[in-house]
Amino acid sequence: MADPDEYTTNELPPFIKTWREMYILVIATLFVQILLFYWITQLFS
Amino acid sequence: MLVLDWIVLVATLVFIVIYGIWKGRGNKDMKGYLLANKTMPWYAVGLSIIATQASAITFLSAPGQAFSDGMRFVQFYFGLPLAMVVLSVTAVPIYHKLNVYTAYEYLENRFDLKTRALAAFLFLIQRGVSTGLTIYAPAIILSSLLGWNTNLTSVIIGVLVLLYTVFGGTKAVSYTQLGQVTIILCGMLTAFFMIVYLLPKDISFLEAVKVAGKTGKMNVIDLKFNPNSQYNIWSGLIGGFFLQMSYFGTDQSQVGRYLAGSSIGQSRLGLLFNGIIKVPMQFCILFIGIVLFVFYQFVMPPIIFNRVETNKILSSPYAGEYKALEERQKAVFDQKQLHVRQLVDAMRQEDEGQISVAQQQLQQSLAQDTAIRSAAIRIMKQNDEKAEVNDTNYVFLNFVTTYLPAGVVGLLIAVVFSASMASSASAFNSLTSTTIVDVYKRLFRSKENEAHYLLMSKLITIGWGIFCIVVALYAGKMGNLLEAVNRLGSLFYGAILGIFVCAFYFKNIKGAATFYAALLTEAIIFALFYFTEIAFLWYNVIGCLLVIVLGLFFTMVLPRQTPAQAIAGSKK
Repeated sequence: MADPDEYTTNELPPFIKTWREMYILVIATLFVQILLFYWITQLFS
Repeated sequence: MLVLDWIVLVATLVFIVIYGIWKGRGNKDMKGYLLANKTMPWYAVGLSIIATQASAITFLSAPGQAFSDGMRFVQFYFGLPLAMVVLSVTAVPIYHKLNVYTAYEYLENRFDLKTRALAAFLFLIQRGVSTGLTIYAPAIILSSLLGWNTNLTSVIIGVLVLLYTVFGGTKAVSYTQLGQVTIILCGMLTAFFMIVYLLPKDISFLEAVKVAGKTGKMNVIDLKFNPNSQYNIWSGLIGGFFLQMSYFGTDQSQVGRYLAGSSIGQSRLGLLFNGIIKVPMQFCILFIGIVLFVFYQFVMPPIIFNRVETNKILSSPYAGEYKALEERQKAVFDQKQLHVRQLVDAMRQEDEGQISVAQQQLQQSLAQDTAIRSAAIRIMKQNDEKAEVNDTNYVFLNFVTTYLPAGVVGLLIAVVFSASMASSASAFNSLTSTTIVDVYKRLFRSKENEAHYLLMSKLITIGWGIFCIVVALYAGKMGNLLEAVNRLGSLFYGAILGIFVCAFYFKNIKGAATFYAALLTEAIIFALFYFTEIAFLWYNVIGCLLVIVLGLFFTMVLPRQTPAQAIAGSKK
C-alpha cells in the first residue's frame, strides 16, 4: 500500500528553503486574503 | 457583431487550433499522448489547472452572480488552497512514484479491480455529462444575445476542441491553455476597465465601490454558520475543502494536468500556484459584477437580461402588461438615481445621518426594482411555463454586446470560446485516459502494441467529443449553470473522495468494504438531494465521511479475505 511518507523528493521549491515553508506560505496567503476580505466587508458595509 | 469583432474572434480561434496542433505534434505512444511524456514545467501545469477549472460558465456566471447576490460566492473557493497543500503532500508523490496514467489505477494497487472500476465509472458519468453542460452553457447565452443558433455554436466549440485534442493529446491541451488563459485575462481586464470608464465622470471608483457596499453587495465574508446557506466562510472552508480535495485529487481532468508535470516538484508547484492565485482571481471576476451593478444604477438596465425571453413576452398577449412594468421601472430608476446621488453627496460630506437616510431610500428603490422584476418573471411564466427567467448568466454578456466598442466585443466572445474550449479539452483528454487505461486496456485488450493504443486513444477522444456535443445539444434549462455543474459534481465527488481517503489513510479498510460503502453512500447522497434542503457543498463532506464510516463498519462485519482471495479479486 502506498504511504505518503514513503515518497519524498530532493527537488526544492524556488526561493524558499523547504516544501514545509512553501505550504505554510500558501496557507498564510489564504488567511491574509480572508482577513483582507473581512476588512473590506466591514469597511464597505 | 461588427466585422472587426468577427476578425478578432476568428483569428483567435484559428490561432488556438493551429497552435495546439503544432505544439502537440510528434506523439508516438500512449505516454506521450496522455501524459505529454511528463515534460511539463510548473507554470504550464499551474495555468492548465486554472484553465481546466475555469470554464466559460465561470466567466459568464460569476459577474452575474455578484450582480444579483454580491461578493459572497468567493467564499466557495476558500477550501481550495488548503486542498492544494494536502494534495501536494500526499497525492502528488504517490501518483508520480507509482507512475500511473490515471488516479483510478492507484485504487487497484490499493484495493481491487471493482473499486477501481466503480471510481472510474462514477468519474466517466459525471465528467461526460458536465462537459456537455460546459459546451452548452456559452452556446445558449451567445445564441440568446447574438441570435446565433445554439446547436451550431455547441457543435463549433466541440469540433474546434476535438481538432487539436485528437491530434495533440495532453501536450496540445496544456500549451493551448497557456494561450487561452492569457486571452481570458486580457479580455476580463479590458471589460473591467471599460465598465469603470463608462461610470459617470463625477463618480470616482472608490465612491462606486462604496455605493455597492451600502446596498449590501460587498458582503465578501459571512461568519454565520448555517448549513442551509450555500455560501459562508464555514461551508467554503470545510465543504469547499472536501469538494476541491475530491476535484483535484480524484477527478482525472485535474489529476491528468499535474501528472504531466516533469517531476514531483513541478507538479506540486503547479498546484500551489493555483492555491495562491485562485481566490484573488475569483474575487476579481466577481468584482466585475459589482462594478457592473453600480454602472446599472446610472444607466437603465433591462428588466430581464435574456433578450430572447424579453422579445418573446413583447410579442405575446402580455406585451401591454410588460410595457407597463417597463414604465414603472423607468420611474423607479429615476427615483433610484436621485437616491444614489444623495448617498454619494452624503458620503462626500461624511454625514452619517444623511448616509443612513439615503441608504434606506436606495434600499427601498432596489426593493421596488425587485418587485417589478418578480412581476415580469410572473407574467413570463404565465405566457410560457418553460421560460428561462434566471438571467444571471446573461448579465455580463448583455452589457458587453450593448455597451462595448467593436473589437472588444470580439475579444470578449473569444474569451467565452477560449474558456469553454480550455476546460472541454482537459475533459476530453481525461475521459480518454480513463476509458483507455482503466477500461479498454485493463478489461479488454491488455496486450496490444503502443501504436494500437495511440490510435484507440484518438478514436476514443473523438467518441467522447461526440458524446459531449450530443449532451450539449440536449441540455435542458438548468438555472444558474455554474451552480448546476457544481451541484452535479457534489453528488459524486464526496463518495469518490471517500474512496481515496480510505486508500490513503485507512490501511485496515479493504477493497470490498470500500466498494459497498461507496455504493451505499451514493444512494444516501441521492436521497438527501431529493428529500432535503441541505446546501450542496455539504454533500462532499457527508459523502466522504459516510464512505469512511461505512467502510470501517463493513470491514468489521464482512468476512476477512485471505491473501489468496485478495490477489484473485484484484486480478479478476
